[in-house]
Amino acid sequence: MNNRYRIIVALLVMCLGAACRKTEFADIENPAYLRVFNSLDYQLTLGNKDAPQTFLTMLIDPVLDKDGIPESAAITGDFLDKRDSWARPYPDAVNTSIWQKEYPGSLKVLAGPILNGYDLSSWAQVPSGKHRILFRTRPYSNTPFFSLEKNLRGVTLVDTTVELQSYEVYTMHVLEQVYETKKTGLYIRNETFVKQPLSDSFVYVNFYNLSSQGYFDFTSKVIDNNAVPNRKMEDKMTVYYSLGRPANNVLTPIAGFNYLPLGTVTRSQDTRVAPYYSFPLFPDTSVNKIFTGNMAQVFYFCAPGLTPFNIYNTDPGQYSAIAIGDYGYTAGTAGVPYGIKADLRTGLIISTHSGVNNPRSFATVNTLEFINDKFYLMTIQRKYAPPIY
Amino acid sequence: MIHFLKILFVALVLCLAGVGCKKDNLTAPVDITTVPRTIGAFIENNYDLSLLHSALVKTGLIDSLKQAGAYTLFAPDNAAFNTIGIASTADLDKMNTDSLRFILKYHVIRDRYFVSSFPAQLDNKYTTLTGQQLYVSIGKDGVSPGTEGKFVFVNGSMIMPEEKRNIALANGVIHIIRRPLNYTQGSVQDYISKDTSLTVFAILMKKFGYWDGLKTQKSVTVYAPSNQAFANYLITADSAAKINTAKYKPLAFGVYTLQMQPLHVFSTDGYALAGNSGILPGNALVTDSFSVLPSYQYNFFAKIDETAIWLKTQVGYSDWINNVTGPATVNYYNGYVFGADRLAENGIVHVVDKLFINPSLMLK
Repeated sequence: MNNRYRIIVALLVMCLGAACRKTEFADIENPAYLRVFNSLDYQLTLGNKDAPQTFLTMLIDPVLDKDGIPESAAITGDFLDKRDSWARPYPDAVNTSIWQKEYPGSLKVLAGPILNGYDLSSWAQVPSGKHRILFRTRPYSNTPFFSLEKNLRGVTLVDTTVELQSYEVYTMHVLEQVYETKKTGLYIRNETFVKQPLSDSFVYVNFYNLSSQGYFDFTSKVIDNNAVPNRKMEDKMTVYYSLGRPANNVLTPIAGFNYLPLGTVTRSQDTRVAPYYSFPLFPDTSVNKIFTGNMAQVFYFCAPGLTPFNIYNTDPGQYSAIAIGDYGYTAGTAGVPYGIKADLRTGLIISTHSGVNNPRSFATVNTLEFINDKFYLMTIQRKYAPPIY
Repeated sequence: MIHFLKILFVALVLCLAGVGCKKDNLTAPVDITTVPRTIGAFIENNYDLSLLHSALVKTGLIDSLKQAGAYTLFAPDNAAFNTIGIASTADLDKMNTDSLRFILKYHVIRDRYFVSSFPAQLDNKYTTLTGQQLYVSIGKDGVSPGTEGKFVFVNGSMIMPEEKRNIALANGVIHIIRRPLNYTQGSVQDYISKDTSLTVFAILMKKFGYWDGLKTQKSVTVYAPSNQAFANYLITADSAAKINTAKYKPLAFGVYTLQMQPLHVFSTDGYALAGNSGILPGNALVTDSFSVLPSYQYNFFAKIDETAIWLKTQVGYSDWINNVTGPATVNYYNGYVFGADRLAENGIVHVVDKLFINPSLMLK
């Protein structure tokens, strides 16, 4: 009988021993938070087919061999394809695609935390301090960069050193700097939204025109202004906005929110953070304060002296507009040539199941970037309560 | 009686069991599917590759292709040899062994490349056994579904679809190509000076100051009209030598070098880039409001390459009309197989059968 107890005790001790497994969690001390976009976007034609292609590998602190070809790197952001028009407020982690629209994208890396209420899960943690950053082109294939033969490891587009401060949020672009020569460079912006007192009952948006130098002047020779009306922008533009609701697939402005002035945008690749402008999360007083209802935001860009009221017969570059959200037939017309769906129902506002409400609308902080002839939107969401089913 | 039957039954069962236990010492025949042949052995045993086999035997390369590789061979089959006028072993025997060996080695690259292992882009460069590079381009469209079914062009020569590509062998891979590759050692200038059908063109290039660039520039694409094309506009070697260059606009003769733009364009690149919608002004080589648009399509039923070079003039921002200063289309001189994609060290020469622009319409 005694023996049986001894065996049971021995088994329990064994169980305890086995349960003592120590898990080593990946950890980066004093991290900086980094999100990277490949903002190069030129069409491949017969005439430029030998130009470096816009499919990149980012190498942080690379080790080069004697010929200058990378052999390894501390951090590798491979398969960096052209960026998507909408950079989502949550990571791409659910998809299994190898090609990335951004870094970290769907890579399994240490993501940023909730910082001052902002969800930084689309940012990767990288060690702070000085880093050499290399961007090289790579072939369109599924072979990881360091498994490629050395002669296929592309050419260097960007080779620079940056200093990242700990616990700072950075957005990095590979940008075309000069249109005619296709000179590329690195643009790194130290984001300030985590430090600004932004209210959660307003939706914030700031604007950048990161177009390359000479794009506006040069393209008048090669791109037909009449074929793409209102898809160009002069260097300095005033921004107006409207908030609207779709009715019969056409946007109808909400009373009091039509063609309101918002701010200005100037073409510059200076890395200063542009001021955030805001509009209310619940502009329509007739709806409950839980869900805004399907809606869209339209931003109008007018040359100084023009407003959306007097935009008839403008010259190329003097007017453009983008609709975001549930815009129906409104986007894609000459009046509003651009459209980004962003959040399917509510555009810059995130509407999702949270708590007992499904859906519930949340304010966000957004960055709208115009690069050459495309708009790109980056949405940052706040932390919200998980759904209760 | 029953007892006896029982014993008999047991005895029979035992007997059967004993017989059943007999083990013949059988040797299974060698499974040839698990021991694939080498590239050399495959070529030896394939009637469609008999001309290639003869050429490899003549140049002593067949044994190399039986060694451990790995190699990727872009193999011209008999039909491909026929397109360049080689119909029998006798035709091969007339050829210089050294130059034949060089060009055959130019068809082989090291390592094993299936179609899916080429990056899906234009101009993947691979070093051949001669040390020169060849260019593998993957098309936008597929000839059959999947990544293995994409259109593939080697120096403008199509890799045949389906079972004629990705032939996996013990020491490498064979892809059957549509026409044999060509490569000329030396510069574009050297190629033009050697070609007796381009003597007038050579004189004009010298007169208009493009000649040195054809040797020194790193990358150049030339559309060279044949002597016959110049003769149609009454330009002979004699009159070309006396031409007053100051009278002509730069485009008049500069169009043939695309005004020395650093281009490296094969005849099939436009098709690889844009697929069936290859004939678009946006997908052309543009110089001074004049566009040159090489189009290509393989007709699988007639088994011919359908090629043409479309010429257009720009009249508005995106308004292109058929060439107003000459023909709307020109063809490769002596056909696509002989005229297109003459690869040299620093560029590509396409020999064409007509002038792009009537020079008398291009006077200042």
